[in-house]
Amino acid sequence: MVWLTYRQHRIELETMLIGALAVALACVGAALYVASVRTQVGLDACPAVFGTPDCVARFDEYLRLTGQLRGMPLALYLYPVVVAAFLAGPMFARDFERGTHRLVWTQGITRLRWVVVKIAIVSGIAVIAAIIVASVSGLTYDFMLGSTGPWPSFDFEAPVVLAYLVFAVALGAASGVLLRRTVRSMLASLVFFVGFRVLVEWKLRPNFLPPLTSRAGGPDVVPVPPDAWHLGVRYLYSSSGADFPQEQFDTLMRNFRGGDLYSYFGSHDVIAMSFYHPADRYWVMQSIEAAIFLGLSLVLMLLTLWLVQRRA
Amino acid sequence: MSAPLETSALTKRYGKVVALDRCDLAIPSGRVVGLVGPNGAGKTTLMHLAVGLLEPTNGTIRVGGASPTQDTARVLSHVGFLGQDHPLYGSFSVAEMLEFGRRLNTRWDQSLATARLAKIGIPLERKVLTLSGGQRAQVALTLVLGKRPDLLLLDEPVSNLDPLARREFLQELMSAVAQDGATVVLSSHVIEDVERVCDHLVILAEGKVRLAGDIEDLIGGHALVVGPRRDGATADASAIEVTHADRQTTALIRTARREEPHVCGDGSYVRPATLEEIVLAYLRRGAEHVKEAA
Repeated sequence: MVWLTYRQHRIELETMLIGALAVALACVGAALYVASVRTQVGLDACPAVFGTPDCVARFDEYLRLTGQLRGMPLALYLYPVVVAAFLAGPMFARDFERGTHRLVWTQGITRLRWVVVKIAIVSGIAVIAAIIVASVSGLTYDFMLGSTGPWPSFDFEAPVVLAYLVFAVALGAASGVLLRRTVRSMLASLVFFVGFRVLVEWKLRPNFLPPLTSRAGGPDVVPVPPDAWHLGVRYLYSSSGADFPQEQFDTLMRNFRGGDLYSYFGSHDVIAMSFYHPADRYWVMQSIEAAIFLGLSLVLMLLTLWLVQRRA
Repeated sequence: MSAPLETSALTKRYGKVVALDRCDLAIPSGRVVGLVGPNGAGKTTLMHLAVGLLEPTNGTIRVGGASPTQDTARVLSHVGFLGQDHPLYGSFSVAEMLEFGRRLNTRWDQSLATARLAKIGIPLERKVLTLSGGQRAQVALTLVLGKRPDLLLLDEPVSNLDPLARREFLQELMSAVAQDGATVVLSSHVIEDVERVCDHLVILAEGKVRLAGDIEDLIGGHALVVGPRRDGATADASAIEVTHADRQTTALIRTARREEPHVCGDGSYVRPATLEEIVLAYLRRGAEHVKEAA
């Protein structure tokens, strides 16, 4: 069965690993290039806050030379999507479409063994691919960006990259068994993978843990740590801490006649607060996101086993 | 020893559609059985139930005494199943298809498989995708025979083949089972093919067995009577089917012994019925006759 799985999906599995190596090499290559440009334009000699016109010019030159590399994160985003659509989508659907499921189900092995081994091998190789990509993607991305904290490379760190790829395989397996048509299963895998990734990143991730707050503006301002993930500024009632409604805020701003904005806010019971996640939560939130995707993968895999076991 | 394939009140429903309706059947051991019936008669359903691809709605099916759904692995190690369209992995070479058979079956006979393919002249290194339909069917048959099954279930094995490939396939099948003594169930809607290779016949229609018996007995036990047109009842309980044309009446009747061709006293002509005439008569006979007979 191991032999059959590997032989049947050889091209896809090998392409996935070669793709992982290519993405990893591209990350390293891009980072090396950025490092050489930094030295070449003498950027490291400039202070963090650009004071002199010379440094501004050097920075412009740096941006001009490294501009083409902005596409690199795109490859990192696309890699698991491609795995979901082109490797995982057809892995069961093609068997059903061509009738080869009946061929393999009438040999001397059980269906359970067939489906378990197939999922295990493909997700196992997906894990290897994830390790190849994630071993360099987080580090090189932070380096190229000159990030002050860990957060910008959140999507490219090992725990979530691994979880995304396992999820891609589980999603493709389940949709293949459900839809039984290759193209439909590929499309469904693609749409649901992207949809769920976007949902988690935009809606769920900021609230994995309750954000910390600090005064934003005015004489009592408490600066957000530079290595934190800054979610934004919200306006609250200073007495109750409840959200200050946007409409009222607009009215408040229309009536503002100059002077100190924050004491004006204070006289209307309004306070501006920054919401953020500090850097020490980074790995906790990585684990939460990975657990969500892995948990969902487990559910999809069990669904696949159940669907295959059930006789029509 | 238990029967190779036996069903009792076997019923399979797909939603509201009844594919098999309280079907009782026993396939005798060591025979080549033709399973005939119109499309939708339940032939494929019966075969899928026998290899555990489907689960019965009601009733039981036993293959070599075991249940295909509860004892799938045991049943499958003794049964070779060849599905319609002969599915194979297109990107595999013929040798890799044999490797597939070797790795997934306990009783695989590699030398038998390679010898068969060498005899037919299919090179092992050829990709499945580049084979002709007839060659593909032969590779699929080799996969089934390589399992050394006690029971072969072949679902419309020749329906997509041209006449030449059809003949070759059936010849190969016959020479293979002649050596092995395995039981074969072959479904088809071409009665000519069934007559050429089978010695036992099962007619399936509307989910039930209409007729089952040795082909020799069936042909010996039915005669065709052609006489001047006689309207109204034939009054003969042994008549399976009576048809009236402009000037003559034809009846297919059950007889106690083989009727050699002769002319009767009333001027009607009697001859042994052909298998095709028997099958068609039983298929055309409505389901209500079956109920009456029972």
